[in-house]
Amino acid sequence: MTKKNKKIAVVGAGHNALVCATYLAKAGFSVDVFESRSQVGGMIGKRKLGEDYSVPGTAHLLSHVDESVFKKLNLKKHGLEYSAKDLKTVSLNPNGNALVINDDEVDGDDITMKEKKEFKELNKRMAKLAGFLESAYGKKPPRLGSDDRDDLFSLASLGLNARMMGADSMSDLLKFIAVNIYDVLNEFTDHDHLKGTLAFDAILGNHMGPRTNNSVITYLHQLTGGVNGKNGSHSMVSDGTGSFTKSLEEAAKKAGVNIHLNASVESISFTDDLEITGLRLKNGDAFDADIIVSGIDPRSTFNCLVGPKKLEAGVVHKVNNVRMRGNAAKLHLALSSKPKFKGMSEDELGQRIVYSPSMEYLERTFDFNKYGQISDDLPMEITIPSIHDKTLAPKGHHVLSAIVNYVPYHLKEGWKTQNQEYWISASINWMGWLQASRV
Amino acid sequence: MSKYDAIVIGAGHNGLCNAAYLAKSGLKVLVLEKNDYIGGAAVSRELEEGWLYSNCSYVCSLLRPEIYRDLNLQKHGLQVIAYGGSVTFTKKGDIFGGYSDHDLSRREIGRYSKKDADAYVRFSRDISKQCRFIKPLLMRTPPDPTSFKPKDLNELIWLFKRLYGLGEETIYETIRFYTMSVAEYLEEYFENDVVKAALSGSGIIGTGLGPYSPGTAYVLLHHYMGEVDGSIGSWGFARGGMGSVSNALAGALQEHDGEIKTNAEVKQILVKNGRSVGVVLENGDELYAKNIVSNLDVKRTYLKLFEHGDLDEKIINQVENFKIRGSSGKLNIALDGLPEFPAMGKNNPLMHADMHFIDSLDRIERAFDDWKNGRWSSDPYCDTLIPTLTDPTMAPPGKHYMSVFVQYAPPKLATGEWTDKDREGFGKTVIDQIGEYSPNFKDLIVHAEIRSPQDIENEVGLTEGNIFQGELTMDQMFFNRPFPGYSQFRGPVKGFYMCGSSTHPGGGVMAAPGANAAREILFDLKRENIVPEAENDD
Repeated sequence: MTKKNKKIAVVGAGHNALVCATYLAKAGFSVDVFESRSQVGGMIGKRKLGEDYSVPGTAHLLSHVDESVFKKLNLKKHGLEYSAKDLKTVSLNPNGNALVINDDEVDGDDITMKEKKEFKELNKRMAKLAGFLESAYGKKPPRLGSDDRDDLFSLASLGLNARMMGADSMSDLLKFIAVNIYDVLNEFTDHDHLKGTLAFDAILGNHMGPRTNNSVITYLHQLTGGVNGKNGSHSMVSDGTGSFTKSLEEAAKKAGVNIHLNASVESISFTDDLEITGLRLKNGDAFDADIIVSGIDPRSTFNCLVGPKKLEAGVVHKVNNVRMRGNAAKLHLALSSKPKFKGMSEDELGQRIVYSPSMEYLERTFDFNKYGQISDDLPMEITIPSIHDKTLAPKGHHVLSAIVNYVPYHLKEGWKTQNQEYWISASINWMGWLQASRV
Repeated sequence: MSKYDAIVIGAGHNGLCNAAYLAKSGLKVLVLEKNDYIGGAAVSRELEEGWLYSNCSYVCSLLRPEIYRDLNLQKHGLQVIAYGGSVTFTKKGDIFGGYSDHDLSRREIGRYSKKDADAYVRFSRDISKQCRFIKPLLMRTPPDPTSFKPKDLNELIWLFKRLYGLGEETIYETIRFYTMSVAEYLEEYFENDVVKAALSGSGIIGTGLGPYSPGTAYVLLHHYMGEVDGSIGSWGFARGGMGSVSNALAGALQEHDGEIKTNAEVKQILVKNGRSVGVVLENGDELYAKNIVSNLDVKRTYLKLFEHGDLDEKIINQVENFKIRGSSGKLNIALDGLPEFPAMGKNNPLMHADMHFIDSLDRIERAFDDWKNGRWSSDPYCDTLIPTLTDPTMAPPGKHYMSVFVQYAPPKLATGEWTDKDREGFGKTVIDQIGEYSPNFKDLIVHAEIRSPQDIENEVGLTEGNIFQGELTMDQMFFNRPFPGYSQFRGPVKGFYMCGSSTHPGGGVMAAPGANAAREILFDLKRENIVPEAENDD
């Protein structure tokens, strides 16, 4: 069988699925992508807010991307545009003293020269470790315990890479990898607000508090990749991230990928010998394929599309043990004018705005989450994309997009409308207290 | 001319074990102890007439059997008596028993959940796999992963081969295991809350972590590695209290002409030309020896005994960042008779077992939250035992001794240092919890010793009252213990060594750090190694 007549079906049209599909199509396979929604992009993409406003659907910033992929797929030519690059992080503080982080410079909130130096030192040491992580990300992880030459080779090269960082950095890696960001930041500096801001990066989207072990690795993860070769940088994509999805879609189509929208996959079809034959869609259609690639999460893939009956008990067990807990909520607001935040100047509104005044604060709010409750004061990451992109709101108006952390997927008392209103009002109250104005 | 080949600072069980091996090899050894009794945290103390309290450590099962045999501790009076199981009292008035007998345990779990009874078979199998993997490492010196010395490379290769020998499936499990929380680990097997709570306790004892903190699965293992007479995971009492362990080690030391001096607190370690040459005592006496070994924890050793200028900034920084957190307190109670626990009945063999009065992971996690916020747990996890049911020598006839290990208690309260009133409040919290399950308990109390982490530090010397001489987390284990570059028991100046639980393999009355350090000292002195390796129990 040649490549041309080997059929590949990709489930889901999130950005990873699209990138994978495009690569495969470029290599000469016949590739079909099946997406349940009416647009591609998964967590990325524009979304309507009321009649006149648009917001970024889920992700609102682009960070830790692998730019080599963008280049290979020529996304720029296909329409990817940034409305703002290298954003600063402005971290708010109830007392009005904002902290501004720009690359490895930090300013504001009574920060001393010593603390500025400590931050630089931290950055330097962390960047080295993140570099190691990034180099590992680009490779297929070795299978441990296998005696295959490729696996042994890639394992050895991982070990060598670690050693090549120098004895100190290697020790850092072995020491920091499984510990928590709380202890590590405490080793570096005494500035509570700075530590709170940095720890926020470690816990955003994770079921973790700053004192939860393994939160250093999640922090390092945030420092890998970036736009313009700047690791850990944040950028905003124009058209409410829409230009990113559009460029991915164009690149895929150009490579010959067939994208089926509103095509929800029901299951993967097998022969009696458990060989893959294709997909079955929810609308009853069947599609023949030799290879299936799943772009959706492992639990949905194995439990829903494959079905536990076709898997060994051990695999079912492992799939169910994959921990994936929803902790972050998204809040979109349409605003009648530019909002004002205490301690922030107007020209900083276009930056990445973070609310996380200290690590103790984060840990406290996490404790609520831990027991399936919601704190009345939640940490969040805010962007106002309409500052850079006028097409998102009517003239003079703005849209605000916030990722609010520590809103548990499983609420102990179960989600009811009032809970929904509770966290929203908790978030808005908080912003209101920061003097935001709202439509 | 110095009179001694080696001076060991601190007569804890590791210091004594270390000294015993050095003496056995023919060296002239002196052990210095600040208190007027030896043993450090392995002691039997008569604080109420007629009663012996194991007032710090209270069970003996992690003690390496190869050391027990090799140093002939039985001859020196150490007798370990096995006791059985554990029991958890539930809020609903039921009990959940844990037995050393696998089938009994299974049946009991089945009473709470049929599914969990099946899962228990897998759980036990997986845990023993992990135990078997780690055991041989206990009595070996960790390699330095950044070194290119043949000794280190060989050890790394040995380790790598051993890991690979587990097979793919188990390697992944092992990696997951080391980075998970005990709660999540247990949730992969069990569904019933009482079962999970009962099994999770070992994962938090002695650490500043809650059951949901990643890293606690390993702590569980650390406590499961114990054995008495070759049965893995079983626990035992040292007859006559934990002091018998120290006394037996001291006996072994004296058999080989080692000396012990009590009431001899070391004030400073003397360093000359980058070499430790002796010590100065509180009373001003100077004692000289070519080799100085510290049984104290790293913070106490490096920050208090060394002259600041004798160490470089980097190591001081490492020492300052060493995590040693007091998280537990202790109550030792003399009882006029046997307390009754109506939920289990007088003649239940579980009366001999570890008793716990907390029946859900959430409750334990909340106990941890209290600690995090600088308070003792209002609903603590108490590991409660009545050793006198197994070893009647510790109390007058008909009377009993109860040992209550309390998790969590902070070394310093949010309100400041511990006061007498705090100590009283802390004791009351614990006594009330036990009283809830035993109506006659409070009336039987003859005497109670209440120890906050601060008391433990003041008396025993453990910084913050941390029972392990440093948290048992990944960043402080194996070649990271106590910190990178110093895991092979040698200190930053020549002739100086560490042999306490701050070093590999860490806390518990195990004696392995002391023995491991002796191996490295003998190596440096070009003497034959007499320290045994771990026995293979596969």
